[in-house]
Amino acid sequence: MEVKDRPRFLTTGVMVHVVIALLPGIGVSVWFFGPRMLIVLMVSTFAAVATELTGTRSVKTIRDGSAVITGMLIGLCLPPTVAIWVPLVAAVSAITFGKLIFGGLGKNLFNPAMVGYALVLVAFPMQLVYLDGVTGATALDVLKHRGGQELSQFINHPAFGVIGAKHFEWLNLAFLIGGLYLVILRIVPWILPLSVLIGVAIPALIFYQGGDANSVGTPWFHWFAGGTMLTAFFIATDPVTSPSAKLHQIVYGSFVGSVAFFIRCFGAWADGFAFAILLANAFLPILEPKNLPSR
Amino acid sequence: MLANPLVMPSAELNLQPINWERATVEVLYERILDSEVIGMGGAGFPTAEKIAIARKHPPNVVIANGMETDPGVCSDQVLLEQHLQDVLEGLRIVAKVLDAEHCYIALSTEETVRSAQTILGDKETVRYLKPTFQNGAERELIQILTGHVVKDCSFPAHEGYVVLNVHTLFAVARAVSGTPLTGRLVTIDQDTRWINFGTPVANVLESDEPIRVGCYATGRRPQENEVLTAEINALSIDKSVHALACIHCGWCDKACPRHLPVESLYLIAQQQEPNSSVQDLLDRCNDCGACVVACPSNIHLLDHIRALRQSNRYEQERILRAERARTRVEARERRLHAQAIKADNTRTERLQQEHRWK
Repeated sequence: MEVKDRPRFLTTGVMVHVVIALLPGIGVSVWFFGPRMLIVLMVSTFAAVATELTGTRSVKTIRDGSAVITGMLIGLCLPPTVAIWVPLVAAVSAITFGKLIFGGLGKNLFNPAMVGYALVLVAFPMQLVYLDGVTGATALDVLKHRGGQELSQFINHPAFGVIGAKHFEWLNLAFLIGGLYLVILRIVPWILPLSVLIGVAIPALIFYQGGDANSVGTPWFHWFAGGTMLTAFFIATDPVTSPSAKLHQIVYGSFVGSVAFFIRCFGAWADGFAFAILLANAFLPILEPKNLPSR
Repeated sequence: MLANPLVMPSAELNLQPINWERATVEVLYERILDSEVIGMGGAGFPTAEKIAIARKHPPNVVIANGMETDPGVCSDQVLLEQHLQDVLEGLRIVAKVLDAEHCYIALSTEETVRSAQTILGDKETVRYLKPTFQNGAERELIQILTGHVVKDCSFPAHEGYVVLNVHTLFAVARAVSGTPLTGRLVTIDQDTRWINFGTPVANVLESDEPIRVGCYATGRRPQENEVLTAEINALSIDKSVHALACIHCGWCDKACPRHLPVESLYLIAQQQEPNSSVQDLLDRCNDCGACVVACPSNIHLLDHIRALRQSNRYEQERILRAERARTRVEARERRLHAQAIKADNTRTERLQQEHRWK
C-alpha cells in the first residue's frame, strides 16, 4: 500500500528548510545593519554547535540541525553593535541551560534560543540596545518614551518607516516571506503564526484608542516592528516547545502574541517576545500534558 | 503401515491434478490439508483448519483479501496483476469446499476490479475498497462487506466468516492443480521478486544494513538464521537504527487511524515500566504502522508500543501469579489451623475421658 498523508520532510530536512527560510531575513539584516551582523551570526552558530558537540560528545545530535538553528536565531535577535562575547555567552548558555541539562533535543521545556537570549537580555541589558549612528533608537522605544504626545505628532520621527519601524519593517517582511515558505511546505502549521499575529493585533486594536495621547500604535505597526514575524514563524513554531493539537496551538499562539504586546508596550523591555515565549513554554505542560497519568 | 521416515514427505503426497469443478468437497479439502497451505497474509494460520472451523458455523462467507495494508508493500498487488485467474479459481475452490452463501474479493485498484469482473462475469462478488490502513484488517473488512460485526472475544472463523489473503488462495489453486507453491512474491525494499521458501533472510538483501522481516513499519527484527517462510510478505531495511530525537511534532497522533495518543504512549514506553492505565489504548492499537511511516525522526513507534504491551502483559501475569500464591498460602494456613483445632479437640476429649475413668 502506498501512504499519502505523511510529513514531506524528515527532521534533518526540516532544519535545512528552516535555514533556507531564514536567508532573506539574514540578507535584509546584513543590508541594513552591516556585515558585522554576519560575524555575530557566525559566532553564535559556531558556539552553539561547539557546545552541543562537547556536551553530547557525539556527532549524532548535530545531524538533526537543531543546534545550528538555535545559534542562528540567537544571532538574529541580537543587535549588530553587540560585543562579540555576547553571542558566545548567549549560544553556550542556550544549548547548555536550554537543552542539554534537560536531556537533549526533544526533552527541553523551554525554547533554547530564547533561554540564551533572555539570559543576556537580563544580564547585559546595555549590550542589547540598538544605539548608534546606524540604527538610532528603535520605534518601539520612541513610542514608549514619547511623553504624552499624540500618535500623529511624531509619526514622522526618523525611527518610523512606511508602516512599521524603520529597517525593522523590511526585516519583518523578509521573515514573513521566509515563514510563508515554511507554511507552504507544510513544515510549519499555519494556525500557529496566525494566532501569534492575531494575539498581537487584538490588544493593539483595543489600546489603539484612535491615536490619542495614550495610544500605543496600530496593529500593523506592531506586526512590522521588533521581532514579531521572527517569533511568529520561527520561534513560536519550534515543534518541541509548542503544542501539536490545533486548539492548543491557537491558545498558545495568541498567548505569546498578547503577552509580548503588553511587555513591549507597558513593560521595562523594548520587546517582549523572549519572555512571552518562555512564559508560554512554562504553561505548555498544563496546556498539553504529554504524559498520561501514570498508574 | 508406518510411514517410512526416509521418504521425503512431499513424495508421499498424491499430487495428481484435480479438476475442482467435478471433484467432491472431501477430495478438495484433503488436498488443502495435505499440501499444508497456511495463511500467507502474515498470521500463518493453517488454511485447512480455518475452513474446518468455519464449516461448523454458518453462514459461511468467504472473503478474498486483496487489500494491501502494510505500507510500502506491493506483493499482493503484483500477484493480482500476474495471476488473477488462479486467485479467483482459489476463491471458487474455497467457496465450494465451504458451500459458501456469499463470496467476495476486496481489491484496491480499479484495474484489477475490472479484470476480475470480466473473468468472473459477476459484479456482486468483486468489491473496490479504498486502500487505507484499516480497510485491509480482517474484522474491518468483514464489517464493510457484509455489515457483520465480529465480537472482540471471538474469531471470524468461529462466526462463519473466512478471510483469506489472495496469496493463500493462489496457493490453494496451485495445490489443487497439483503444483504446490515452493516460493512466493516478496517485496524487497520497493522491489517485488519471486523468492523460494527456505532462502536465508539475511542473504536476500544485498546490503549490510540491519533488516526487518515484513515491511519496515509493522515488521519485526529477524531471528538468528531465519529463513523465508510462506507468511513473510516483505523484507525491508531497518531505518530506525538511525532514529533521531522525538521533537513532539505530533505527526504520529495525526496519522493514527484510530486516533490514539501515540506520542504519549511512546513517552510512557520510554519509562520502561508497566503502566496499566493505558492498557485499553494499547488494546485498541492494531499494529497498522501508520505512526511509524509518519515519524519524521524515523523512530519505530510500534516497537515501543509493543514493548509496553509486553511489559504490561508480564506485569499482569506477575500479579496473577502472586494472587494465586496468596490464595494457596491462605488456604494452607486455614487447613493447618483447622487441623490444629481438630487435634486439640480430640486431645481434650481424650483427657476428659481419662479423667472420667479415674
